[in-house]
Amino acid sequence: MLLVRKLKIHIGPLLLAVILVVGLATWQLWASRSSGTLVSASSLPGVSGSSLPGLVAGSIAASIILFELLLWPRKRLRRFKLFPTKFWLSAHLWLGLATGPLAFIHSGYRFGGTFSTTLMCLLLFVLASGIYGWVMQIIIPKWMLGNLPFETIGSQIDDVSIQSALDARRMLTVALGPKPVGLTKLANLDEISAKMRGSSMVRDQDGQVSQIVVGAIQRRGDHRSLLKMESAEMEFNPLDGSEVWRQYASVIEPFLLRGIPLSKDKTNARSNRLSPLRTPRKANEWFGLLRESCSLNAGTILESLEQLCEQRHQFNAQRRAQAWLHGWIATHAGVSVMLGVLLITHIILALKYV
Amino acid sequence: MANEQELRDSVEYISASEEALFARGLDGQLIRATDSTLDDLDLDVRISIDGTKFAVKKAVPLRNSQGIIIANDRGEIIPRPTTIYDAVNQLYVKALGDVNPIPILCHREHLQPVGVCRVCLVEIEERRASGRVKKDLVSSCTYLVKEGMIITTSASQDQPKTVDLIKKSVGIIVELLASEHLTSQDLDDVRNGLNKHDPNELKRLVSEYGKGDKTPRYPPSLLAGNRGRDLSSEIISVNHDACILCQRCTRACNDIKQNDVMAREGKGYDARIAFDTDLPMLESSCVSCGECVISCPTDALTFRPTVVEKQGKKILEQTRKSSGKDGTVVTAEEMLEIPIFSGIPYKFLQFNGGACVRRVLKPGESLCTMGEYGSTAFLIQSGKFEIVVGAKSPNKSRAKVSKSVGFFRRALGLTSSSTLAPSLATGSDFGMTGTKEKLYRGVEDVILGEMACLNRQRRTATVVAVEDSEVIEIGTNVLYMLQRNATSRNVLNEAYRRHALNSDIERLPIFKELTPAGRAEAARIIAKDAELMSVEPGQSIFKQGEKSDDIYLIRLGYIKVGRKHGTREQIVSYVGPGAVDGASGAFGEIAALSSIYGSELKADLDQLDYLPGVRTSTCSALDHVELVRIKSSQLRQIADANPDFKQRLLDRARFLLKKDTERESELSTGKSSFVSQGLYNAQSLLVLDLESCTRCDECTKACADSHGGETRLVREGMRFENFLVATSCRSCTDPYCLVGCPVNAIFREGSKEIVIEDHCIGCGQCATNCPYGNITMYGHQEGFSGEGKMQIPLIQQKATTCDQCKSIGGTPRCVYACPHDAAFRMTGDELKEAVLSRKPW
Ligand code: SF4
Ligand code: SF4
Ligand code: SF4
Ligand code: FES
Repeated sequence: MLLVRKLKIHIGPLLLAVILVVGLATWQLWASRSSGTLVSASSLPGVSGSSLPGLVAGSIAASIILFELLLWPRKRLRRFKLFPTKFWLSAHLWLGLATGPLAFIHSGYRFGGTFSTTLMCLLLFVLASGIYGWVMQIIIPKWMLGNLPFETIGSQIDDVSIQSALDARRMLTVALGPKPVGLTKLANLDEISAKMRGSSMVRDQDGQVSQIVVGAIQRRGDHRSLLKMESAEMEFNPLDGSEVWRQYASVIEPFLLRGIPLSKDKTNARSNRLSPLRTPRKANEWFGLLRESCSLNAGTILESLEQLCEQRHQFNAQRRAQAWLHGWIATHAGVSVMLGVLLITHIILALKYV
Repeated sequence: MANEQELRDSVEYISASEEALFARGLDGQLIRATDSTLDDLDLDVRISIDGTKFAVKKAVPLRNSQGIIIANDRGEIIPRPTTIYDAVNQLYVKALGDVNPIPILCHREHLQPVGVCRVCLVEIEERRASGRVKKDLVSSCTYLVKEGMIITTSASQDQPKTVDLIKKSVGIIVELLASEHLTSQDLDDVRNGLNKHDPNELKRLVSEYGKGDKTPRYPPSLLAGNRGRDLSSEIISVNHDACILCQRCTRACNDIKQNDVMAREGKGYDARIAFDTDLPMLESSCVSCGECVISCPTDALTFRPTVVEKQGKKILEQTRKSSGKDGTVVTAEEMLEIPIFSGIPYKFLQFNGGACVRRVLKPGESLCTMGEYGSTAFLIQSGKFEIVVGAKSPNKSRAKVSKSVGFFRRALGLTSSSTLAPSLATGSDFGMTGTKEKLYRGVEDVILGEMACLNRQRRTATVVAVEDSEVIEIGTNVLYMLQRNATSRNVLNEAYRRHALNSDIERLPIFKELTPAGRAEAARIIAKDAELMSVEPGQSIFKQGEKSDDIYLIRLGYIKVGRKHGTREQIVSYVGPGAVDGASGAFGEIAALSSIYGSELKADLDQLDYLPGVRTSTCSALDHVELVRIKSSQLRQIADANPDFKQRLLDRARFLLKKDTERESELSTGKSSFVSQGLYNAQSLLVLDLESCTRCDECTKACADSHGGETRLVREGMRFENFLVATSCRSCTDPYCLVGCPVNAIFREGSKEIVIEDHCIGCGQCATNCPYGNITMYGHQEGFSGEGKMQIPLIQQKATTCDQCKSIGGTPRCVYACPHDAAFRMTGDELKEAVLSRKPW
């Protein structure tokens, strides 16, 4: 069924791409046959960019490449109704794929001199990166759907993590009382949480009121909380309390806030890579031990904390998945621009020396 | 809890005359801690008021601030004891324009009585436990009626001495208040004769009961005039000197709007109203909804004049912009001259200046069009209107079925899946019982088009003027205000009974095969005793295994039908208003019919292990539900006179029981998340197919780019199988967000999309009401606060929601911009279909 729906969008550009490639190849074959110049596949004399079919193939390929580059401005001009983007992307895919064979038809199935070889290599690279990205975009969303039920918006991971830490603190305070003095200091989240809550008087860095806000200030992110506060209303052994607070402050919260950082993020990278929670399996074992050291009724609270850590694991995995999902675009787009520039040079040179 | 109980128990032993000294309510207020039972609702108490003997019920149903009866968790009506004020109301206030002779200051019908001002004095004579008959002056808003009580109010004709005593006592109270809380200017106003519309109720009471020329007779306290002002808020000024501590504002903020911002702070002369922990209003969590201002009977809380002016201009602009609203604005003063509006606070009308419009229509001109959503009602001033089915309107109906798109657009897949929403039966809002009849409405009908406004559904008929006519068009917020007052509410309820109830009842499937005349007669019998009820989200209407046999008809909202299997409850179905999916909107029929015909249905009941008259499932409200409750005994009454009808009832019962047998086998687990996520109520969900969505955020960016940088969708939300139901307005069939906007800035006009206009005051009520978090508050700079170098940018919060890009041509940009064909707009049922058939389209 999915295929049928997708076919609706893809069928037009796909057919066009096939017709162009097959049509121009046949035309060229027919043209070279009728001029009697096609001798052997290795040299293919008479089959070149300067033959009429070759020229047509080259012009079409060039136009397609330029059209392909238009996808970027099309995306930027989102607010205008310039045909639904899904059709642009479908055309981008299929016509883009056609540029490879068309370029070969144009070049008479040769790489040619240094310039045209460079051009051809760039084209092949662009095609390869595009196909890679396409495959990633088919595989990774499915994997994320199955494996990351706690997934959130990529750019919100830090905010949601802070919110989780704040929720966890609130839950522990309600259930166990305030954090005993002398334990590892908790990160200062007051400013961030005040910002998240919003205020009717916005102050600048010097503490001066810089804006006055009238009306309701909506709190964001509250609805995403994983914690059920009822769980905090249970009775709790005070001895367990200080142990849980200790573990929370030294192990759980640093992990909740920072997870396992990507390599570029150096803050606490080392300590977190050594965190006993660094993999879901290790976290599971660690919580198992903690549970054993506490009395039975600590269960619900530890479960909630474990769930938050699981959420953080999924956020880490999401970051990696999204890096795979989108990381290739920069390369694909960068090389495409280079290809575009060289292509224009190629056209100018070709026109100059006709 | 134990303390509450002790308190209640102890109240029983305190004699009535001591009660005023010692009675304390559960919040420390001067109210009686007396419980009523359901039996009290039917128990007559014989009393005499101003020489007229009559009986009132010992208790009345508890109502919400809109006057709708509320039910408890078990679905039972909650009784509250009848007060003397209620009883006097019943005697004196029967029609529009009638007034209750008891003066009130801290009390209002839509608020819980607290009995703090004591101006509502009446004299009672009652027999005490000792057997002695004793006379007393009591506050009528909190004092309960008792058997044999003799009540004298200030309107009594034959007790001049008592009347004099009451008036003098009230005079003393109001003069004491006046000396402490009125300025010399106010007192001058009183002496020189008050402006008819002066909103200060204390001034009016002083001019009526005070000693006129000699006020104030009592010296003020040292604190008078020195309590200070809070001018921190840009919207509301607080003048603590004028505050009489009647607590109308605190009850309005906390009980009605549930903003929980206000409280009383301090003791004795130093007591004052406070915001949060006695913060300046600006720094508190006040959302500037204005409910406290319109509730305040004095000048303690007032809107800033600039705000009133700015708001008035915006509303007027909006009123003019809306198509067809070409009439002249009716001012607050003019509105108050019309009897039905007399109970509406002046400050409310003033703040909503420009919202009420007088429209003059020529014969043939239409007032509203069938199929459109409407957010206004029409008070008929003169002329006559015909109710027509179909769009007999010069302006073409905007409520189109958008599936009718051109071939080219369809070929490219540019269709949107919005369809005409399910709505009530044709003409039902206007009392049409068949589509062939000609129906006219005139001045005697008072109001037109109010149902579409109140039930947030499409208009069920077109209204066309048949002669030169004049109406006043009012917004939903004004209608809500009208409901707060018993007299105007009765006028609206009467209109409802006339216009809608009969046709609702006729829709019941059991009446389907009766002749039109038979149907009408049956509806007439039932409508007499049918009850309009309101149930809050989560409350159950009845429980499985309970013995009760009423039939319910849904006017508004959705209920879920759950059935317990062992310890697990499974959702069997959900039921919405009539005509949704062609369903009847009725439930509870099995218990009702089996209670009448238990022996005839025994075999069928036994098969399912059902008992006659016992509920076979638990029905609870999913959202705010309005119901019509019909007594099964009335069905029996109709059946006894009509053997054919009895057979039909039996057939219907057998049909329902058979359906139940089949249903047992098709319970699906997916149903529960479909219901718990409220997807049944959605007309246009933004769903993302998570298998194709590459998380590129093009949808969000497109939304932000198209709406001035503010996204109206968040790519986050609940998941339904492979789909993410994004946080973006769903255009609910029954949109909760539309309830309670104080300035009528959020509405549906014409088509299903929710629109929020610029005169939104950013109170956040709609955002709180939307259960899916689909309304976001954004700040917009609107000028500056302060002067000269001290100017600080003023950011006005405004609610923003997805209008499906209606304001920019109609094609939702989120779907349009998705490069991966992963974003769709569809109804809840379409989503269910897509999941069931595993084809996401
Ligand atoms: S404006 Fe609204 S929120 Fe603010 S104090 Fe008054 S009632 Fe409460
Ligand atoms: S804003 Fe919320 S309640 Fe209102 S229609 Fe949209 S989804 Fe429904
Ligand atoms: S639209 Fe919403 S936020 Fe704005 S005034 Fe109305 S209820 Fe308040
Ligand atoms: S109105 Fe009854 S005590 Fe105030």
